[in-house]
This record gives sequence, structure tokens and C-alpha cells, in this order.
Amino acid sequence: MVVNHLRVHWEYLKVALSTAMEYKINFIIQVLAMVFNDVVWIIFWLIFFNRFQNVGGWVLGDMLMLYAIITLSYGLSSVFFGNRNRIAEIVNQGKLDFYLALPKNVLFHVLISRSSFYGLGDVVFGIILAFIVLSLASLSLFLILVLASTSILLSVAILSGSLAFFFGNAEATSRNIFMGTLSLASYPLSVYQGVTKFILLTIIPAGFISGVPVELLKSFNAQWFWLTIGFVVLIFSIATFVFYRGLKKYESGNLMYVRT
Amino acid sequence: MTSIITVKNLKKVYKTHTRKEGLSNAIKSLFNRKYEYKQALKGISFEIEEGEIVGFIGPNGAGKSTTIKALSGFLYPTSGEVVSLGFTPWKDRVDYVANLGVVLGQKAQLWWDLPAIDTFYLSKDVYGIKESTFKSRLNFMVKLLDLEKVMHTPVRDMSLGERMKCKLVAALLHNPKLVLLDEPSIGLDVIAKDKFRDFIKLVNKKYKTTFIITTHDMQEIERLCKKIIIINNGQIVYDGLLKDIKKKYLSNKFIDVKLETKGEKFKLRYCKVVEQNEYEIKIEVNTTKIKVKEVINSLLSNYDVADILISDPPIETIIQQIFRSKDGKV
Ligand SMILES: Nc1ncnc2c1ncn2[C@@H]1O[C@H](COP(=O)(O)OP(=O)(O)OP(=O)(O)O)[C@@H](O)[C@H]1O
Ligand SMILES: [Mg+2]
Repeated sequence: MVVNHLRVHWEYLKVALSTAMEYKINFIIQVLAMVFNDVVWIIFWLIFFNRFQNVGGWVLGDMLMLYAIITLSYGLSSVFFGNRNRIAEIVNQGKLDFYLALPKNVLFHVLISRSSFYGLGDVVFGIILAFIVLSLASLSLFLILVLASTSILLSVAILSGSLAFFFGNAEATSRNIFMGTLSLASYPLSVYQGVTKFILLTIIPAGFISGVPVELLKSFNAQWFWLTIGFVVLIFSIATFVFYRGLKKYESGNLMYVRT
Repeated sequence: MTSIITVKNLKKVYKTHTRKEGLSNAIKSLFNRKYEYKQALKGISFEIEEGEIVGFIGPNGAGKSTTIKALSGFLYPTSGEVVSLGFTPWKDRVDYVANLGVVLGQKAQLWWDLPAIDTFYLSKDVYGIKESTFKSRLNFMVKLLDLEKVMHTPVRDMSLGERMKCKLVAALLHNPKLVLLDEPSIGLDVIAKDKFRDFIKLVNKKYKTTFIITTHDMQEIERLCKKIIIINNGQIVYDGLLKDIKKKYLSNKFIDVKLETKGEKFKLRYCKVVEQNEYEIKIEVNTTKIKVKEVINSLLSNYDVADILISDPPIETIIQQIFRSKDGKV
């Protein structure tokens, strides 16, 4: 079962890579755009920390660490689960039929059947940042936390995409929820206080995507570590549950219908 | 014979959001959502036997696609029962679709940017088909459907008909026991349609594959199906042999005559004049009683004929006739 799914995943990656190579120039431009985006962001924080030294205990190194985690989990999920942000579109336009006709887990098949290889730009950038700020001793913890962040990002994408089952046209809303969560995750956790912080560790799980992992890498705390792992399991279970609940409401549609 | 599909009292109600156009209405609808319910299937029941090619016909909006989607496991029906190949489609979906092929004429089922052959290879892995089996089946189908060259071009560059043929191949690669075709021949030209039909017949014979096919093309039905099911307005109005219904309703032909010069009023036994004006006569002929040839001869000898068109009554007419009969059933 698992082996077979991995094999299919691998085949899709190969096809996506060969397609990306067909449009080489386009591919290179997209990768460079990603890297440029990341560089601009870094320059912003370089200037910021040059002035203020630290934000609630966070220094420049912590910020780079945060960015290493975000770019890696964003990049990895783009490469391996490239349809992450297109669930709402696929549901809304009745394209789910294609996946429902095939003998594979629907959610898995949707997620893997596309691959955004320009996400490699983010992955490479994240690795370079990690090399700069990470000590070898914390490498395995770092990798576990990156996987955790990737899973949370995916869960957020699945949850927001599943809105389309319940509310019809939810493509824009779904994308905004995902991007919003991501941008909340790209500030130091220490800028959030009280209720805001609580929300970011529960309903909007931005804190667990980046803030908590950075805190854990700064000083390890078993309790928070297991809380993070538990949270990953919880949110992923909720996301798959909501998706399959929504699937029961899927009404296909004939593409030619324009809903008013 | 054993039935491989049993459908009992299947109902489907679609729920759609409705709102009036304009921004203020859009905002209102955020708080006060209005739904519209559309009863697409009103409790249909039928059985299908192994190895049959069954034609599923009916006018637009009758519920054909909805039935196909419910049988494919794409939709959760509102109520009712379906047992197909021993599975409940929407519950045992993965095991079920491993033995199922679906072609939706109106939908994309191939990767748009890839050559069709790449989609075929992906299918091979998704279904877990053995390399040798895959190769021989692919060759068999590609040859019959003339796809050797075209399957290497990206799907987006294909013609409608080429794409449709590739969709059929993709749906049959894993040698499914049951194949559901929803308007598979839209976009095909006459020659391609012929090949398509021969192909389906051959697969049906060679592998005992069961087909359900929806179409608006009566010729297609006549060429392929022994059994038909007619659905109208979410209800089955006929379920039986094509030849029985033909005897009853398709026995009539329409003859449309255009005249060079004005003619007398037309009169002949077993012929009903549907419409006649100065330069045109429309006749309905009962072919069980009189040969078309006889009618044409009479027309040619009595009128200055410019053009003649002979046609079957459209399916809509047949359905109207069925409703006109006493209890609405055949
Ligand atoms: N996703 C949907 N949401 C709402 N209503 C739908 C949906 N799909 C179909 N319907 C409605 O249900 C009814 C049956 O539709 P269906 O597509 O099954 O018809 P059909 O027999 O396939 O017609 P056609 O010959 O035009 O393809 C129609 O009135 C249609 O408007
Ligand atoms: Mg239809």
C-alpha cells in the first residue's frame, strides 16, 4: 500500500520535472523570483536588527532560523505536494472527478499530482540559511521541526481548501487564509502577547509553524516539543476529517454550468 | 445471467446557493444564504447484466450524468441503494474503481500539458498494471483507434476527437469489468464515430466488458445497444429492449420534401401529413404498413421534387409519445 503510493508519487515527480525542464527559461525565472523574494525579506530584517538589536529576546540569528524553517517547509510542500493551494479550485470546478475515478486515496492523489519545482529555490535558500545559523548538534531536531512545520502548512491548506465543499466558491478565501497564516508565521513569536499569542497557538496555528520551533532550537524544552508533535497529529487529523466530511457534499458539476 | 449492477430507488437532490446579482445582494447572502434544491433523480431503479451494452437516453437535464456519477462513486446520493460489481460505489470507492472505467465526454481526464502517452504511463502506475500487460493492451487499442502518432503530442494541442479517443484508452487500460461512458462521442466526426463504435463492440466481445453509454445520438444507440433505459425528468420511463421500443415508436419515419413548383395536397394511405405549405411537405410514415420506397415513388411521380430528407423521430418525440400513452410507461 504505502510502497505503491510512494511509487506513484515518484512517477508524478518525474513527469513534473520533465515538464518543468521543457519550459527551462520559465522555470529558471520562477526560481530566481523566489530567491529574490527571500533576499528582499532578509535585507529587511538585517536593517531592522541593525537598529533595534533584539525584539523580545529574538536576535537576528533567531530570525534567520525562523526563515530557514519557513522557506524549507514552504518549498518542500511546493515540490512534493504542489496542489496544496489548489484544492478549492479543484473542488469548485468539479475537477475532483478525475481523482475520484482512480483507485488511490483522493486527498493524497490530489496533493501529489502536481509539483512546483520552483519551490526548489526556497528549499535551497532554506538550506543555506540553516548552514549559516544552525549548529551540527541540533540538526536532527531541526529536521524533525521542519517536517512538523510542513505538515502544519499542509493541514492549513487542506482545511482552507475544504471550505469549497461547504461554501461553493471559496478559492480566494482559501488562498487568503493560507497566505495570512504564513505571513503571521513570519514574525518573531515574541511580538505576540496574551490572547493573540494564544490564538496563534490554537485556531490559527502560525505559532507552531515557526515561532515554537525557533524557541525549541534556542533552548530545548521537552514539554513544548511534545506539544508541537501532538499539535501536528491533531491538526492533520482534523484536516483530513474535514476534507472527507466535505467530500460527501461534493456535487461534481459539469464545468459548463456557471453557478450564479 | 447475473446482474452486475442493481440500483434501488436512487434519489439525488442537488443543493445550490442562489443569490441575485449585485454587491448588496452578495453581502446580504453572506448572512442569509438562500438555497435552491434541484431533484435530479426521483427514485430510479434498474438492473444491468454482465456483458451488456446499455444505452442510457433522455433529454437534456433528465439526470443521465447524475446517474453515471452516482454509479461511478463521485457523488453521494441523497438516498437509495446501488450495488455495482458487489460494491457500494461511494463507500468502497478505491476497491470499486479499480475495476471501473469512466469517460466523461464534457470533462478533462488527461493531463493537459503532457502527451497522452504520459497520462497512460501514470495510469499504469496508479492502477499497478504489469508492464507486459500494459504494453499489449496499449498497442491493441492504439492501433484500433489510430493513435500511434497523435498520442505523443501534448493533450492541449489535440483535436476534440483525438482527445476523446485518448480518454477512452485511459479508461480501458486496466481492463475494467464495467465502463461508464457519458456522451463519449461528442466532437467525433462520422468516420471516427464508426471506429469508436466498432472498438466498443470489439472490447465488449473480447473481454465481456459491460458498458453503459449515454448519448443523444440515436444512431449510436441503434448500432451499439440491445437494451436501453430512457430517463426523463429524474424518472425512468422505459427499461427494456431497443427492438421492442422501435417496433412501437421508431417505426415511424419523417419525410421532408422541398418542392420546385407548388403542389397539390398530399394524400397516401398510412401517411400522416404533419405540415404542408406551398413549397414544402412534412410527412410521418408508418413503416410497418408501407415501405418508404413506395412513398418516395408516389412523391416523385406527383410532384416536382427539389429535395428529400428522411429522418427518425427525435428522441424527444419518442418520449413525448411515451407520455401520451395511457400510464406514462411503455
Ligand atoms: N452540480 C450540480 N448542482 C446543481 N444542479 C445540478 C448539478 N448537476 C446537475 N444538476 C441539475 O440536475 C439535473 C440533471 O442533470 P444531469 O447533468 O444529470 O442531466 P443530463 O441528463 O446529463 O443532461 P444532458 O443531456 O444535458 O447532459 C439538471 O436539471 C441539472 O441542472
Ligand atoms: Mg449529461
